[in-house]
Amino acid sequence: MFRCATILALAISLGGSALADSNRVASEAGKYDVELTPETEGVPLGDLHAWRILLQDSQGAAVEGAALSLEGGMPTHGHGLPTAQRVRKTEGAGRYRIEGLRFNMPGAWELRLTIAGSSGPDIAVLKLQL
Amino acid sequence: MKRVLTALLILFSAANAAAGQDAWTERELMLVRSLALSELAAPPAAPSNRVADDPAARELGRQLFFDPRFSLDGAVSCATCHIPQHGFQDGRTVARGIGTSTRRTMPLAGAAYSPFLFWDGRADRLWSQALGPLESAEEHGGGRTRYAHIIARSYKNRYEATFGPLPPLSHLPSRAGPVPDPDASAAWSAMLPEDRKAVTTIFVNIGKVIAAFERTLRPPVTRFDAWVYSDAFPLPGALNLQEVEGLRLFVGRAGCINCHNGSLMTNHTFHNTGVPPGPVSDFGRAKGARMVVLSRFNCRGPFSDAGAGGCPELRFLSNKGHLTEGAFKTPGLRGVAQRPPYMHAGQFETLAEVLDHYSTAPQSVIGHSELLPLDLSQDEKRALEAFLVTLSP
Repeated sequence: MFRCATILALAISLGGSALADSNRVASEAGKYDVELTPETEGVPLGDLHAWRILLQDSQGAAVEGAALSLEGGMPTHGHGLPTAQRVRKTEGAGRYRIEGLRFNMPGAWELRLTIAGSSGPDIAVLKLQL
Repeated sequence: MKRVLTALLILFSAANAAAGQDAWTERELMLVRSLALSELAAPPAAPSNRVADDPAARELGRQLFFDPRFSLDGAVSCATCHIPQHGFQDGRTVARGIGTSTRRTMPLAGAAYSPFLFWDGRADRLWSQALGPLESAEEHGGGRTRYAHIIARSYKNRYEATFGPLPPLSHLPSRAGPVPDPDASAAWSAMLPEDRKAVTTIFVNIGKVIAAFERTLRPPVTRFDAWVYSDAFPLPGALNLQEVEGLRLFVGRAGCINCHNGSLMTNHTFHNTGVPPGPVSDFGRAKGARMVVLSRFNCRGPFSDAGAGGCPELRFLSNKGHLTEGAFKTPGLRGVAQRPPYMHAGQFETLAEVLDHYSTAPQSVIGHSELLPLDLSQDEKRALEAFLVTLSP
């Protein structure tokens, strides 16, 4: 809907430690490594779009058959995501896809991926600045 | 380019120092540029309407838009409330057609970019939005057979050039449709299912050609845009210092850009900002989200031209009560100073009242307001208002 020129800076961090050149995060209890990548060039403001997920255990092995759900929002605004996004399995080892994601405001967002997989339950949190 | 930008920033820092201001940050500049009209691409594809970009359909839609025969008393057209000379709105607190509505007329420029239409988003396609007022007792007040007969009588050639031969209609009642009027409703129920379907198809096509016309309505270039494109940017020039200060508040401390973002200055989503209720208790998006899912005229319905997967907005629609109760669509701000009153039922007469509301952020009567008090000073409110005035030609 909007040109990529409206794409603002994307910075990703985990637990406050900035990992600006990486979109890999470790889950809170350290059971999983999660790579989250928008399918668009940058993160669009306003448009529905999808992200790819690569889910691995702490040894780097792809995690198949995990139940994933995504919530999130803007912590400083106290509201969640404006859409009912879904996560589904896609082709490839440890590959999943988030569909129907929309960021409708510039500012600090948080994505919380709840993981129920072979290493047990855990949550991975991705912070981004839009 | 980078060198030029650096030079500009240094220049501006000097000017800011003279004016007692801080320099613009890269982020602020990026946010300001993202509001410019040049960032507005062509309207998104409309797979649910196969004639959305058809020039002949567009012209037919333009004619229907201005034709008052498409109403109960022959005196109300789309343009009665969506007045072209007034930014396609009417300046009233609530719309007045055959009767009186409970909500304010929305302007139309840029409507093609919105995934959900109306203050509550109860329509998900521009063509289905156009159908709502045609059957509303307070707006056009007519019924489907009346509209189909007008097409057959006055627009037969143009209609058939786009949609193919009209079905036989002469045996159908002059006033019938699934509307609150008991006589028209009974006449509609008495019609054969195939006749109802044929008439509804014509009715939907009326919406589709009107949508094709409305897709062409873009907001004009404003004084703000001219300044962003100018050599002076981001120094005052086409915008004076007070207006520029207002813009800095808009993208900064006042947080207006949270919802009023992008070149249309709306995020097209729904927010509870605690505005006082209008003439009726209005739950806004909470009801609209339920209605759009159930509508036969939605993107997934039998009259949509979208194939499988063509309706992502409906697929990912969220209807979480705490987000939608008392929430209304963020209106775009282009031309805002020229179209008081404000909010979904014209609750505020002036921009100053609007800014007072956002500054104090009162509790919501329905649901929960997302606002936090801004405690803007009088000077800050005046600067914001001055900036909003620049969003017009």
